[in-house]
Parts: sequence; C-alpha cells; structure tokens
Amino acid sequence: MRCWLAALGLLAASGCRGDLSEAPPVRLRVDPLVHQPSHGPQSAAGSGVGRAPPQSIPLGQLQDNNWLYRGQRGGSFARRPPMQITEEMLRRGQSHYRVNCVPCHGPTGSGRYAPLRVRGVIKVPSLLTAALETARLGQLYRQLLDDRRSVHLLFKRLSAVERWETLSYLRVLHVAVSAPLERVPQQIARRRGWLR
Amino acid sequence: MTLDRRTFLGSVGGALALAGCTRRPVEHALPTAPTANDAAPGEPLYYATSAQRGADVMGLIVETTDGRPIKIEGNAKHPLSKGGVDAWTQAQTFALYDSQRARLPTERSGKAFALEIVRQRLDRLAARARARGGAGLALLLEYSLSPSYRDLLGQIRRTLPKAELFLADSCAPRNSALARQGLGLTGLTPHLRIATADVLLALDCDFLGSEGEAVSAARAFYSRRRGNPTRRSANRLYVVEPVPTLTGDAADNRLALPRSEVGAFLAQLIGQLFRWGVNPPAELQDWARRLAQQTPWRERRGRWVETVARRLRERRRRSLVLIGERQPVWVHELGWLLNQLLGNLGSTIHLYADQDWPVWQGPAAFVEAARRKQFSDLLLLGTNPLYTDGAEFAQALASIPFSMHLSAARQATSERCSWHVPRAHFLESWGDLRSSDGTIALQQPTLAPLFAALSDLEVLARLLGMPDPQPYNVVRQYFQRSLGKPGMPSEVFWRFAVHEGFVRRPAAAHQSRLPSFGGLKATTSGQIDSPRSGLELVFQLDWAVADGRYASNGWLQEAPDPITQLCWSSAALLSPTTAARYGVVDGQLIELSVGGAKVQLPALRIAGVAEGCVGLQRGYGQQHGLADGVGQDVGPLQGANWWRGGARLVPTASLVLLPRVDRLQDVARGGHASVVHRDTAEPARWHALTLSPMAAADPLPLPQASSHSEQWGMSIDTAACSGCGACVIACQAENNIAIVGPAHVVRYGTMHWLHIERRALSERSPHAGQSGYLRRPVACQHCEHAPCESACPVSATQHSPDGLNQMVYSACVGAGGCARDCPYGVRRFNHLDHAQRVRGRSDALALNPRVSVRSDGVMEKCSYCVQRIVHARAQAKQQGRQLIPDGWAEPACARTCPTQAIVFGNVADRASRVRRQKRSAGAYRLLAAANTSPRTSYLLAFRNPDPRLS
Repeated sequence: MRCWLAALGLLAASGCRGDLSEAPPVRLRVDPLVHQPSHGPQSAAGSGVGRAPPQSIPLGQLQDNNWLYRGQRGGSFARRPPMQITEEMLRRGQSHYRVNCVPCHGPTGSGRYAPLRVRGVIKVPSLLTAALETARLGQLYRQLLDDRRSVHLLFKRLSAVERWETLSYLRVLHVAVSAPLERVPQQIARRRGWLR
Repeated sequence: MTLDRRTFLGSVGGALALAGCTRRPVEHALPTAPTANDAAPGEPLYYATSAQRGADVMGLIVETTDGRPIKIEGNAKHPLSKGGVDAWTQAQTFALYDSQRARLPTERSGKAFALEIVRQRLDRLAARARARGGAGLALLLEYSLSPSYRDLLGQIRRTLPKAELFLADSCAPRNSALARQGLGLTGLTPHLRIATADVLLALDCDFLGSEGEAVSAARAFYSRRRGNPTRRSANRLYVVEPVPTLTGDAADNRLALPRSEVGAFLAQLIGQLFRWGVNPPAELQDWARRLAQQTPWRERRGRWVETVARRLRERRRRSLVLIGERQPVWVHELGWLLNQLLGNLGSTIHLYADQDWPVWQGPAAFVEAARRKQFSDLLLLGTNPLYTDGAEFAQALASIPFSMHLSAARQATSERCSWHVPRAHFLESWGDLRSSDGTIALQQPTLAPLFAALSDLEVLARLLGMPDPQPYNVVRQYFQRSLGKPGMPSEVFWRFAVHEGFVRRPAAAHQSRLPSFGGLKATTSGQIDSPRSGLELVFQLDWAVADGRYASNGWLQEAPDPITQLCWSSAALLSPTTAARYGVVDGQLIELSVGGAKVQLPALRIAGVAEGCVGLQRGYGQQHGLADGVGQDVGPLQGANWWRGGARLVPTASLVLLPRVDRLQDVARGGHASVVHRDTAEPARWHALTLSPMAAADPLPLPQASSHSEQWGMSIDTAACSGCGACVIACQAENNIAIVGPAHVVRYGTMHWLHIERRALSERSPHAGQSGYLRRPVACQHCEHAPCESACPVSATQHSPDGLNQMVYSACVGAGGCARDCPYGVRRFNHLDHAQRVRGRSDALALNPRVSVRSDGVMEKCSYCVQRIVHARAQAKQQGRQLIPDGWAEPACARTCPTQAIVFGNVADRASRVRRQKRSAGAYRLLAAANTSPRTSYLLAFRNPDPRLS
C-alpha cells in the first residue's frame, strides 16, 4: 500500500519539474474569444512577418523634406526647427517630453528626480551637458534617430513634427537651467516666491 | 489487493495531482523593435502597389498591421482603376498566407533544399546557355504586363537567340493581339474610352466582368447610369454571347447565340452597313461587295442585326464594338473593321505606343518543338500547363533532362518537373505594370518574403547574367533607363513614384495609325459561314478560379458564382429548353463526349444559355491543396478553340447535390411572414424602376434627431451594381469571415455577411423576352426598430447611439431568435468552430487583428465595419475635429466597389454624400412595410432597353 502511494507521489513529483514545453499550451477549455487565432504584436510568427520590406515606402513617409526628416539644411545640420517657434508649439513639445522623456531623464532633463531613477532602476545621463547645449538641433535629431539601441524608441515613435517640438522644448530646458534670475518674468518669479 | 476507502481516496488524490501537472504554457513576449518602417504596434501602415489580373492593372493601397498585409484596397489616385479593385485581387491576401504555399524548393521526390542552390544552378545554367547562344533552353511563360519583364524578354531574345520562348496562359489576350499584328498595329495598345460611348456592342466579351481592363471599364460604363440617369444621359449595351456573363446580365438587350455563330453575326452586321452604303476601305471593295450580297438573317436574329446596325450607325464616333478573347483572330479583325467603319478609332478607341508582348506560341508549339529537337533545360515561370494542356504536354516534359517549375504551391506540373521552386507573391516582390493608357504602376513589396521564394524577374535576370539580379535592381534600372525625367534627380523621382504607386504616361498623344485590312480576305474566307453540327461545347474561364490559377483560394471558391450561384463546384450549363430536350434536371450527372474524350459532370439549367450549347468552366478538377476534388476538369473535351461542335450528351441516372447559394430562396424557405411581402411587392418595385422614368418617390425619412452627432447610414445605387462580388470578398477579408467548405454550404449556406441578391428580369417583367438579373448587395440593414434586438434573450444584440445594430459576441448564447426574426436573412450562425482551420497555421496571419474571430455557437453579421468607424473617430479626435469628415469612415465594401455603387456616411451630416443620395428620387428601403426603418437604403435599378427589340 505504502509502495503504491510512494510510487504515485514520485510520479506526480516527476511531472511537476516545471519544464517548459515547446509544444503549444494544453488548455482544457479554450475560450475562443480570449485565445483568438489572430496574430497581435506579441504573436510569434517565426517568419518574415513584421520585418520591414527593404526600400519600400509607406504612404505618408516619402520624407522628401530633408530638414523635417533628416535635420539637414543646405548640407549641414539645421540650427532651428523647420516650423515656426510659438508658445503653443513649445507647449506641445512639453507635453511630448512629459509623456516620453520624463520617465528616464526627469522633468528638467538632468536625470535627477526621474521616476525610474528614484526607484533605482537605471541611471541616465543628463541632457543638460555643454555638448548637448551647443549642438545644433538638427544634429540632436539625427543622433536620436540613428541610435540603434532601443532606448530612444519612444522618440522614434513620434511623428517628425512632434520630434521637432520635443527637441525645441529641450532647448527651452537648456535655456532655463542656466538662466539667471533676472531673465525670469517678474510675475512668475513672484508667484514662485523667488523674489526677495 | 482490496480497494478500501482510504486507498481509493489516495489514488484519486494522486491522480488529481498528476492532472494538475499539465504542460506549462509557453507564452511568448517579443520586443516590437525594430518595427516595420517605424510603425507603432497595432497602427496600420499603408503601401501603394499594384496587381495584374489577365489584362487588367489595378493600383492598390495595401493596409499592413505589424508588418503583415491585411487588406488590399484600391489606389484612388491611379488614373485608370481609380480606387476600384476586383474580387480576385482582394483575395490575394488569402493566397499570401496560404499554408499550402511551398516553403522551400523541392526535388521531384519531395526532398527540400535551400534556395541558394537554385540560384547557383540557375547561374550555371545561364552561363552554359549563353555559351551556346541559348540552344537547348526553353521557357514557358505567363502573360505579363510588366515593362521590365518584357524588356528582359527582349534582352533574352537578343543575347540567347536560340532559346525558345512559349506562352502557356489561358488568360492572355492572345487573339486580340494576333489580330492587331495581322492588321499592322504592332507596337500599339488600344485604350477604350467606354464612358464616351453611347452605344456599346459586346460580342462574346465579358468586358465588365473578367476580360480586359474590367475594373476601369465597369466604372466608366456605370458612370453613365449612376444616380438616376435619364434615357438621354444613359448609354445602351447590346450583348451577343453563348453563356450568360456579368456583362450579359448588365445588357439592355441580350441575344443568346452559339459561340461559333458570333463571327457570322458580326459579318451580317457589317454586310448590312455595306448594303446601306457605308464605304469600305479601298483594299476591301470586292470583299465588301460579296459580304453585302450574303443572305441576310431572318426573324429574331435578323431583327437584331438590323436594329444594332441602325443604332451603331446613328451613333458614329460615339459607339464601341467589343470582341471577346474567346473569339478567333478573324472575328477580332472584323471587329476592328466595324469600329473603323463607325469612325470609332480616335474617338472611343485610342491607340498608345507600347512594347508588345513578344511571345505568342503556345504549349502546342512547345510540344511540337520538343518532338523536333532536344531541349536540355526547361524553365516554367508560373504556369501550370500539365493541367491546362494535358497528356501531350506530359510526354514532352518527360523528354527534357532538367525542368524547373516556379509556382506558389506544388501543382500538377510540379510533380513532373525535376525541381519545384516557390514563387514570390506580388506583395513580397518588386515589379511594375503598364495599363493600356500608358500609366506605369509600380509594385512594391509590403512585407519581406514569408518563405524562400524567387520572383520571375530574378529568374530572367539571372539567365541574362545580370550582375545584380534582384527584382528591385531590375525594375529600378529599367525605370532609370526609360522613364527618368529630365531635370529631376533620379532618386527623388523614383522615391516619389514608389510612394504614389504609379507614373502617369508621358504627355505623348495617342497614335493615329489606321489598321490595314489587306489580309482580312484571306483570314475570313471559308470561316464566316462554316456550318455547325451537334451540340456545341462552350468553354469559359471560371468566374472564381479563372483557368485554375485561383483554385486553391478558399475565399474565391466559396464566393457564389454570380451566374450559377455555385460555390466549390462546377457544372455543365444548359438552357432549360435544351435540358428538357435531353430530359436533364439540375444536379443530374451527364456524360459529355466529343472526339473520343468523355467527361461526366452535373448539369445545371441556366436561363440565357444559347440553345444547343453547353457552357463549361475551365479551372476545376485539380488534385492539389484546397482545390483537390473540387469540380470536374473539362480540359480533355477542349480542342484548339474555345468551343467544339458535334458533342454528344448522355444523361446518367445519378444525381449530385450542388453547393449552391441563392439567398432569396433561402429566405423563402424559412417561411417568415415578411417573405410574402418580399416575394410579391419587392420584385414589382425592382422592375418598375427599370422601365418607367423615375417617378418622384416620397423622400426617404431620415433618422430621428438624436443627441449623437453621428448617425451612420448606407445607400446602395442598384443602377450601378454589376454584381461582380468585389464587396463580398472585401467584407470577407476585412471581417475575418470563415470559409466553411462545400458540405457546410449545402446544409447551412456560407458565412458571408454580405451577399448579392438577385432577381430574374424575366419574372413578371413587363418587358418580355428580356433576360438577365437585377442585383443588389444585401447585408445587415441596421434597422432602427430592429426585430432581432427584441428577440435576443440575453441582449447580445443592441443598438448603439450612433445607429449601429451591434453584436456582442461574448454575450451571445446562440439562441438564434434574432436570425429567425430578421426579415432580411442576413444573420449567420457559427454551427462549428470554423477558425479551427487556421489555428496555429500561417493562414491565421490573414486575420484582421481589429476584428474578433468568432467561434462556434455565436451569431454574427455586418457591423458596418465598426472598427473603421472607431479608427476614423480616433483620427478625427487627434486632429481636433468635432465631426468625422465625410468619407473617412468607409466600410470595406464601399471602399472597394469598382463602380462606387455603395455610399456610406453620417446621415446627420447635411453635407454628406449618403444623405444626398438618400434624399434623391428613387431611394427606397427593403421591406418598407415591415416598419423596421433600416439605415441601409437603395436607389432604383436601371435598364435602357431598345424599344425595337422588345
């Protein structure tokens, strides 16, 4: 009798080693509406699916404007964005920055107080270095796009116009971080209690 | 051992523990980087590309999600197809992901090997062929409209002069091209300006369905009939044909004539014009005199000849005579003569300079050549001649040491070739296509190749020993050489062309060269009055599978044939009178024999088939993939022509059940009260509109005012519906509609959300003798007082504030009350888990990720493509718009319709097209008396029959 139970136990334990199987998961009841046969972004297709066809051009991505899409103007990197700089445009840039950049670079771009830094996950270099402050905007644009690491995927995922708006806002941060108190508008300084 | 309670519980516990140890599921988490062209996951990207079917080129926009093409739609900017796409092209996403596609090259034994080996072998073969000037090399080709392809063939002709090229393609416009050659029109392609023609005569020519540039032709033809036309503004179409086609259905007057007599009809017509004093060309004076002296036809056919000749003469320069591809060369030449007599050259027919297709000798010539001399290598690019051309071809093939067959999946020919090599799908490779008006459409890949595959261009380029034989380079180089724009950097021009999907023709005007009819006397002598004997077999390319090339496409197989309503099947079509003569009923197996060949297949009675003719579809009876065992191959009966006289018909005692979908009958069988209304009042209405000038109908009531700013509605102009079925396939591709197979079709019908309802014109028609059908697409009508909603016990079908009748799949318990209460018969129940067929296979990649895949026990129906509405709403919101602009939210059927018969939009928007159409005269709702207030309405159908022929 004991032998029986022991054998059963052993057998049960051997089944529970937790090996991963290459075979599809066994589901006693497949809920068809949950486990649909259609493929999503996370499906393993195991083939060419998802790879970009080389040299083809999707609609709306002709990218014939070098300034807008490559940051170049007249053979060198552009100093300013291809669109007019307005307060509204900077506010949109601020909004993109908050959504896409703040988690790593923090609200001021210094890398401090960044949510991920606070939790001790990663350490991100500051965006407020002298090199970045003096670099032309077009150069920054190109660098971020050519970056093969996936860290700047969020930037790449923005549209070209949104990218320029974000970079313009970064320029705002550059100015703000070294701006003397005199250059802050009076009413803002007063509201913040920076005026003695 | 005794089993006491404790032991029992212990064992059960152990067993339970074991049962808990099922395999741990493997769940994949994949990074989405790098994404295809920087697309956000789940966001669609669109590519402009193009496709060829027969002699038609369509500009396409392909929607891809996460790097895989999901939906093929028309490129509205393409100058010719203007956004229309046919059913076949849309069904190509099915072919792209077909799990039956070959994944690697294979030997005859089935052993697979790497594609690189094929490339090496091709290079060696090419080097050897070049050393010998091409001696011993034969190529069997498929007809192509690609200028790069034709350019490569020209180069092969020059560098490998001893290599032999053959064309093995039943869909190629062979006879019309040979006729042009005979008339001295080489290097010119005719471009038909159908919209400018007031009177059209189609002789055995399905120009609105499957022949020529059908998509643009249908659009041009119906542009004269859309939106309440008048007798004055509308065109008139006469059709003479042996077996009904979509063009015959659209005809205002149709004459059923055996195929062998169509040429004689044309000769009679020309003779009549000569008798009326029309001047023949100088070189034909004698011939014309003799033609004028032939005995005129009498009775009905004589009246037809006389009337059509009169109408054509009345509309000189504004008429058009079209000759079908199944007619012999001499009839095409007569057609050119008639068009010239009518002054149509230069007005309704323009000629554009083009690079001619260089190869017209067919498989028979190949068999002959193989007997005469020794070929050492044979390359078959995309054709399947063993199926289309039979046993003689197999013998010739066996005599060749090395043969390579390039095709998407293994077919009959692949089994007999040394190697089978997978062929790249058009969505995976580069190419270009030229339309008759000179527009060159570019074909760009929308995904990297799924499997190891070669494209035709690469094979040809390797034969020529080109240093970079990749299709991209071939097309690009041709482009640069022949199309580069002066003053524009080639890179910029190329990128622009790829992005837009086409290049307009250079400004060069159409040519004014006239045909010379010197050879006409010889070709027509003895042909015009050749006597016919016995039963005539008339061969057609099948609506769904053409010459068999689409036979493994499940979407096309399951779409009901517009004429026979058959799916997954072929039949011998007989007119009811001929059937009665032989005592044959629908589904009865008959044996047809001619010249020693015999074939058994089921008969089907179809009104409109010429007396003494049997209509037979090619393309069936293959033994591979989904096509295995579907229909019968009638190839053995076919001789050199597309008809054969002197056939014998012997009925057998067996009956088979034909998978046939006739939705109107289905509804009638259901016995619902409203069907009574449907069967009586509705047809009367359908007919009334065809004949009388439009009475100012009461304007259609619009949806009641609601707080919601979007009120969706649809309007379908039945006057512009050709019944081509493009909308049915569009809906299937967009909404993941399952294919169910012939057995299920027989029991429950198909799962299509959208079907094309038809009603025979002759039924109670005041215009007696008129044949053909009126057609209208019918899907869920999105009733405001929907009977289905009150019938559902679990509220699984509900009304949305924007007027959609919505299905909640997860709530559906399959009670079926909704389907029983629906007076339109548009709800489909999943009796089985049809998605099981694609689970875990590459077919599943074709499924649209924005639409749920339904499982067994769930009811489904048209949703007005709610996913597209939601997407448009999101886009409008992103741009800060209050209202979705008109045309942004368009269901798949409306977007794809080649004739723009379907209009969808926001009825509450005063500027919307759909609102205008709903308010126009002649708008009506289906079963208005049922008081369901449907959101879909229709415009009256239209026919313009000739009073002299009624």
